[in-house]
Amino acid sequence: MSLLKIKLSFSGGIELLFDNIKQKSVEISSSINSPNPTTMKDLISWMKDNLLKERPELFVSGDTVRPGILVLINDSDWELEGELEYEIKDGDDIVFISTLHGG
Amino acid sequence: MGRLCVICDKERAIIKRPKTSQQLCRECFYYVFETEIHNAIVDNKLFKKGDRVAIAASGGKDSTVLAHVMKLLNERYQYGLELFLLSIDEGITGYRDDSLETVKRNQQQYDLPLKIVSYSELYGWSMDQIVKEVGLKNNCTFCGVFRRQALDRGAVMLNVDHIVTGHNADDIAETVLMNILRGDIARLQRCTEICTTGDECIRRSKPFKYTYEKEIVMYAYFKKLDYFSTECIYSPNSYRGHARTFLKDLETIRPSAIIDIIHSGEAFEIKKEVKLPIQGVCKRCGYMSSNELCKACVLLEGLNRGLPKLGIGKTHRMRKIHGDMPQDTAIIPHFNNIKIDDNENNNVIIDESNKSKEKL
Amino acid sequence: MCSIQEETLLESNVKIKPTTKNCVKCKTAKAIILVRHSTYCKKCFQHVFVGKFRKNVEKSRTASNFSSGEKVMIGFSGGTSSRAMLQLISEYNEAIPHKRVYSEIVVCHIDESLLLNQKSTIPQIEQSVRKYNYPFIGLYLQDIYNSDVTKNGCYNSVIEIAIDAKISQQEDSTISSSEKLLSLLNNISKLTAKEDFIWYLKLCYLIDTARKNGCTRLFLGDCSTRLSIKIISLTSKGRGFSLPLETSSETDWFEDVIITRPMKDMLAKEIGIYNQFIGLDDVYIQGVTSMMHAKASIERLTEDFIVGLEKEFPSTVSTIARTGAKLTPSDSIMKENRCVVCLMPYQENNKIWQNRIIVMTIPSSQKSNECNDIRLNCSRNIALGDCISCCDDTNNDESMANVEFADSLCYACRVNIRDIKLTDKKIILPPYVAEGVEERKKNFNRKQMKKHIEEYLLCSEEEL
Repeated sequence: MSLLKIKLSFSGGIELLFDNIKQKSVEISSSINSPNPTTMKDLISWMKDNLLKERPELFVSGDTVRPGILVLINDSDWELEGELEYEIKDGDDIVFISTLHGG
Repeated sequence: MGRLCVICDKERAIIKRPKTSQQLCRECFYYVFETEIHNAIVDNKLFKKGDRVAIAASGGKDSTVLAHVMKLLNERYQYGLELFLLSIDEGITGYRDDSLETVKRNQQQYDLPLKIVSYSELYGWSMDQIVKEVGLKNNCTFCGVFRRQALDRGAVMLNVDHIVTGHNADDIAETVLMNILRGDIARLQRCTEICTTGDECIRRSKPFKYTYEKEIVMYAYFKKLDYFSTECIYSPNSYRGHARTFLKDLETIRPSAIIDIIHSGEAFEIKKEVKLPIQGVCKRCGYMSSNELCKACVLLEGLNRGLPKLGIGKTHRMRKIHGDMPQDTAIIPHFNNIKIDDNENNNVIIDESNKSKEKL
Repeated sequence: MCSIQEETLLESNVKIKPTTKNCVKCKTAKAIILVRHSTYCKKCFQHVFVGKFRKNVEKSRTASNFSSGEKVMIGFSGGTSSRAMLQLISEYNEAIPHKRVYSEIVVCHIDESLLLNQKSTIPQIEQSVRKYNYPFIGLYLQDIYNSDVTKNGCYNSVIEIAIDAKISQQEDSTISSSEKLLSLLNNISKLTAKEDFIWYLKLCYLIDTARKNGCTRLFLGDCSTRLSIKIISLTSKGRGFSLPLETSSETDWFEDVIITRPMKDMLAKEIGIYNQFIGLDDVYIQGVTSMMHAKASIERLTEDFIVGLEKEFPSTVSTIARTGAKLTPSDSIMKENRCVVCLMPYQENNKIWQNRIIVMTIPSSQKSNECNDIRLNCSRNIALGDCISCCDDTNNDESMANVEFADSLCYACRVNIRDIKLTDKKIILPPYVAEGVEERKKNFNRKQMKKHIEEYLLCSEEEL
């Protein structure tokens, strides 16, 4: 089992759900979903369980992020990277930006 | 002893009125409910004395309450209207056949003449057959288009000047939202009009324009009106479902939202430079249409040629691909050739007692 | 009755997975963003994005009389959209330094931290705009109660609504501005009305500040996502009459201060990604419904609804925005029929309309008694709006004040006022509201006077 080091960033108000921290480096196991590779879907569910302190409904909706939250993977729109199916690699830089007024 | 009615301050309040959140007694609720409809009728000058008016009756709550209230107000305020019930039989087994039974009972209860026009006799297709052909996805398009024209044709047969429908405030608010969501600017402007005049000069109006759906149900419940309360078995598409849920949520946040949306809708004005479709007449059946052929004719042609998608989406492109309609395809009879029923015609079911009264 | 008329097929709008991995514009670079159905590389995306902004400001510039040297104000909340707008306006204006389009750019931020009992947002905002070297004005929302936030500049009457539903206009008392604002908002029982109030207080304050500072244009950062949410929420709140003014790319409704919305063609997504690419750091400012559930207010519900729909049908926002752009302010709009609270136009006789379709009473010979009953109820926490509407037939002085006030409100503000539930004290509306009521009274009197002498007048009003 190896660890994946990834950088998470939050802006547009979504940082309030994560202890008001704008950037955070985390290490997650590459085999959360073993034997399958760790995907964005796994990461979001991991964030919900490990990083999110309260109000999970403001971050997730079903098994994905709430509409209105943008996700960039290494500066690229996650909608072009396969969204939930994207396989996370060591050193990935993932940004969550809220475009919602309601936080 | 519970709270007293906030209007009369005498009787015990038994309902919280959905439109205003006032606590009212039964009689005061009836009074405000009926008066608002009367106000809508007189303020908009919907009728003239002596008008022959057809009530579009489906057997559901809206049209049953409409028939009841129209009859009541006609007598109370002496509108001097001659009222008829007009029903459309779409041919939906387990839904329309049962609700038509309700309409027939209403005919007895309200003592009004009834006319039934069926899709099968008019178009040669029942909704059940159409759904078998096109599936569940676009069947509401067929049903809606066909019903509109069937009502107008029924009205001509009855020789009435006016059709009243049971569209309520919730329906209209939902339509305002839908028209914004799908960018239908022409309908956005028309949909809040209480009365529209079609090409054949049959006026069509919505006396329940400002009446809340919940209050119609309440009224029917307390007055013990006989109505059929099953939803259509062919349910509408998801996009409208979203708008409906949104409207219900809005109403929970602010009960006046339904009226507020209608108020907004009435205030909308379209920029002069925006091109709106010009209303003309369908060259095939004579019904009003903004295109060469009306939607009903195109849809029917599609059904009869085994090309059910013909009238859905881009008609022009589809017609180019499939070419003109073969000569022998069945079409809707021309609007000008509709025969006015006389009372002896067995299409109109007239209550015997009514008939004898007329003879006197 | 089935209410479904005719459904337009929306299949073509349903989300489809992009097939190409390359930019649709340059066709060579790898795409990094999907906007509706099109993929762009970083460079092309930025080019298109800046282009949309420029097109809008150029259009407003050619439409105005100012060929150069206009002094403008940027309404700056600190959020992603106004943050991007500040950067774009600055780039645009500094492109050719000796030929600036705007002679001066003022950045104005209104601090609403009082409402959430948080620390002021002004220092953080000031910090984030410092590098532009533009004059910065930081205002506190409660200062809308200052007597200089009026047309007159030193009008110190306020409208006071007391628990017995007495509405009077009087000299300002000694309560602090913060107390006045808090008392007003705390007595509004519903978040929808509260948010509405806050927005129009802010807008009125921005307009007044622009005017006092000699700015002839106010830039607001509404993007197309925000505008389509507004189109639906304004409709839902009964503001259809003023909607075209409140969502258009440009309006001169405030006469000497033109409102321009240069971000109107950009999606919230595009703005978020643009800011990320060029490293603009926004300041997140909480509002009264932030972090609340979707049904907290009409505004919040609408945001949830539209953003959710857009996810499923990616043309939702653009279709709504296009529909909104086809609406026009009515010819019947009159400058003097301006709501004293939101300053938006209202329709004459909108109260009569409402009284006909919402019947609240039965005809009774004891009308005055009945009215008193409801007035007594007012002290038992009956909503204010009901009281105003029921007392309008009586003729004593007190209710005249009520009538004048109720008559000076637009339909939507009257709906909002219904949610004011006085609990323990009176509430005070800002001087600009009182000034508006007074102005209306004067206009009304002048009209009456004119009626009296009409037959002796030999020329029209304009010639006088």
